[in-house]
Amino acid sequence: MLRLRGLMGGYGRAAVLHGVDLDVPAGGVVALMGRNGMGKTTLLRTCMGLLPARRGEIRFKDRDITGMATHEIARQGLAYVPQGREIFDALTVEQNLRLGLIGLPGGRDAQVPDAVYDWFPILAERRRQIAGTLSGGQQQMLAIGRALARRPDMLLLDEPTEGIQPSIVHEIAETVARIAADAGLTVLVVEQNVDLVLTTARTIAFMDNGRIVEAAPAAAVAADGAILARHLSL
Amino acid sequence: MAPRWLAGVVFMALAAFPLLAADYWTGQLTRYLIFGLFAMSLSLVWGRAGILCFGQAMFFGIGGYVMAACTMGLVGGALTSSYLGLAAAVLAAAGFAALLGYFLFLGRGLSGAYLAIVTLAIAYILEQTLKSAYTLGADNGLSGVPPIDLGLFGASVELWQETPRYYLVLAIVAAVYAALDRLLASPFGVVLTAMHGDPRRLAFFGYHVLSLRLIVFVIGAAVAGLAGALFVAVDEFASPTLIGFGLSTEVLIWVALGGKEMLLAAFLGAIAVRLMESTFAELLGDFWILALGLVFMVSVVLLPRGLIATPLGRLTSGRHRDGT
Amino acid sequence: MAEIAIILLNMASYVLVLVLVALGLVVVFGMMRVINMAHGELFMLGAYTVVWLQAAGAPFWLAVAAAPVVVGAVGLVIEAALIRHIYRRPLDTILATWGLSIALKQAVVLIWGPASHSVAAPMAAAIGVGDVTYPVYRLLLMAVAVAIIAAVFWIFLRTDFGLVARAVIARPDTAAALGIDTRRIYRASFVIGTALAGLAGALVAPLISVDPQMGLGYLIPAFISIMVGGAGPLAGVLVGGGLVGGTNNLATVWLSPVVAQIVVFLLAIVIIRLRPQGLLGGRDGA
Repeated sequence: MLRLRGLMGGYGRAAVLHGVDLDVPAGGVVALMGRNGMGKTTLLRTCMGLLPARRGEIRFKDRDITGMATHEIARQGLAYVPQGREIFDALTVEQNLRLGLIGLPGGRDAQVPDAVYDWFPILAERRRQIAGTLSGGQQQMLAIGRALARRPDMLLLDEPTEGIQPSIVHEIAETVARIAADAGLTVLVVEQNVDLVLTTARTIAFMDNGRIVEAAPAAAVAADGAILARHLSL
Repeated sequence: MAPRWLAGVVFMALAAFPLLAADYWTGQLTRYLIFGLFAMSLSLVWGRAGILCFGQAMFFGIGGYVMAACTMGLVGGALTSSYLGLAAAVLAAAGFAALLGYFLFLGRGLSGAYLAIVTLAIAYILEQTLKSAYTLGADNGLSGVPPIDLGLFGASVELWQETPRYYLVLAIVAAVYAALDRLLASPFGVVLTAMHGDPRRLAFFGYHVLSLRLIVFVIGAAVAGLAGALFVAVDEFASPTLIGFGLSTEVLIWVALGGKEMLLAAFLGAIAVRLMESTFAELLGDFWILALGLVFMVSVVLLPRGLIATPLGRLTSGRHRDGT
Repeated sequence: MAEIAIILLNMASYVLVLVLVALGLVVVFGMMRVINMAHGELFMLGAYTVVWLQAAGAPFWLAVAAAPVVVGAVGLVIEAALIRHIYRRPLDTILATWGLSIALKQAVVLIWGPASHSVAAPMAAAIGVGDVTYPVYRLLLMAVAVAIIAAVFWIFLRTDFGLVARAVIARPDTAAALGIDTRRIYRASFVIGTALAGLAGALVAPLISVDPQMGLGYLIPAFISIMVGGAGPLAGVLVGGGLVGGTNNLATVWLSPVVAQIVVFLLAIVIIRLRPQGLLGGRDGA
């Protein structure tokens, strides 16, 4: 589904990615882990066309999307939930969800699919509420719901549990896993929370200094604590 | 900053100019040198301290009117000396800048676009005020401003002729340039560059950003006031056009075209634009201003460092290209 | 009594025109952080469109209707040739559009000359209620201005375009990641802003002298209105335009126009200094 080869990029002159190779198969859920500042968020933003790729190739559904405009990439079926959620605080829940659809060609009259409200019933309840007044966990659900409203093929998820109550973290993890299974969605998730990663992901890729240094099945990581220790401890 | 040898070459060439040119051109270039001095003041304030002032002519105009009022004896017969006039002009411009700057920068002061619009509005206000100030000649301005008189203690050495006047102005401009250049090379200049880059980080190191901005603003105003004072003495005429909107715009164009971050480039920008104006204005007629507007626009988009500073920077060292 | 009514009517018509000009400016500024110093010249081009078409024999109202189209088309060219290269350099937009304003002003001088033109009002009649008589055209101008201002608010607050626009203002990157073509929204907003300036210029053309310098007289008050009201919510323009325009117009009852303007500018600068985010707050999210 998503295939990165020798991807290099960064902010301005500062290079952050030093040749990333990564494959996310269709229907797969891959988690990206690594210490802070290793380039995980930069990688997602580069895939989305929000940062320029300096070298290398990004292929999505067997199509080269390197250098494509962000909205074009989104229209190819790649969805993105940024770090910090980035919901539109001043708009209602429903308006936020509709913004996930309006950008599509012919999306003006489209209605928010019922599936989104099924996955996140709280959003149906709070439809008319101003999004900025939701709790952190609810805002995260809204951000994910907004990205899923137009039925993408793949979701890039950046730190979905950052700054969220532990009680809700698990709920979000389960919902993401359920959606991936229900909708046949491919997911690449950047996450620090080991618990969430082990419940949702099938494969875990570790990033260090702008490169993918190891990829292992989640089961193997769960069985062998040394792998996590190697990549995450300081 | 431009290297010293380059500035030396420029000022030597300017010193040789009257030997080769007719009196008319010496007279014209005297005025352009003064505009160049004025451009340096904006380069300092805008290019080095990041204060985009859309009304820099207000200090030029204040300097000009104070000089005219003093030397014409409007303030009092005893104060007609050129020396006193120049001093009063510089002090008045600096004093006004201190008050205005304090008001504008204090606390979470204005910056960027808001500062630009507010300074534009203030220049507009001052121009309108002067246009209706009858004691200062209103729309007609003050004509018959006496030339600079170098005499002291009752003796009189009036500079009527083009050539001595040119050298006097050139000496003053060169001295101010040297002083500003030293200032920018000093630790103060280094801190200034750091402030331009990131004011908040500088505040962590214990520097007082308000007073830094204020000091630069006041120095810039003093230089602009000096330029205004010299200008009315050379032109023998002070009018509301010196203070307002039009001249503020022109100086902005000179500095932007020359290169706002480099004093020497801003200085040369003013001279170059004025020289071209007097050459092309006849040839191109009304198309000249159209062309100037378009060139300005294109240079902002494509060469934001300036048309003169960019090649000069390449010529001298790689250092300037990487600076902010 | 009659005098007061006329003062209030004059005030209302000045405020409405100012709000129209400022609204175009704030759409562009709020949307793209582009400070369009050539906005006054686009206003001027609207007035000259009427001069031009009237000279060619077109009826006044047709010329007024054509003005936003002509000026909007100019705006489209400006966006494509200039603005799109400097979206991420807000301070450079001031300088570049300043150069543009000089060029536009001079282009008008070259075509129509530096002298002022006058546009004949389509109706010279005045209407009377009791002992108050007032020109019909001014009343009509106010009605049209109110309708346009309401339409702009409706577009930005009630339509899908407005929803998308507010999303792009608040979080451009996230909006793009949702498949929204932000460039298209920017371009559309810029054209709407310039068309508003053109329309305002066309509408006031019969009331003022049409000359190449006319833009500045509206640009500075329009900017000051935005800064006083706040560039965030559109309603800031109503508050700022009402205060700046209203006070200015009211002050001319006692003061000369020049002194009145000076006093209003000074008061406005004090307000801007005390509340840099404007009375209604700054650019806050969507």
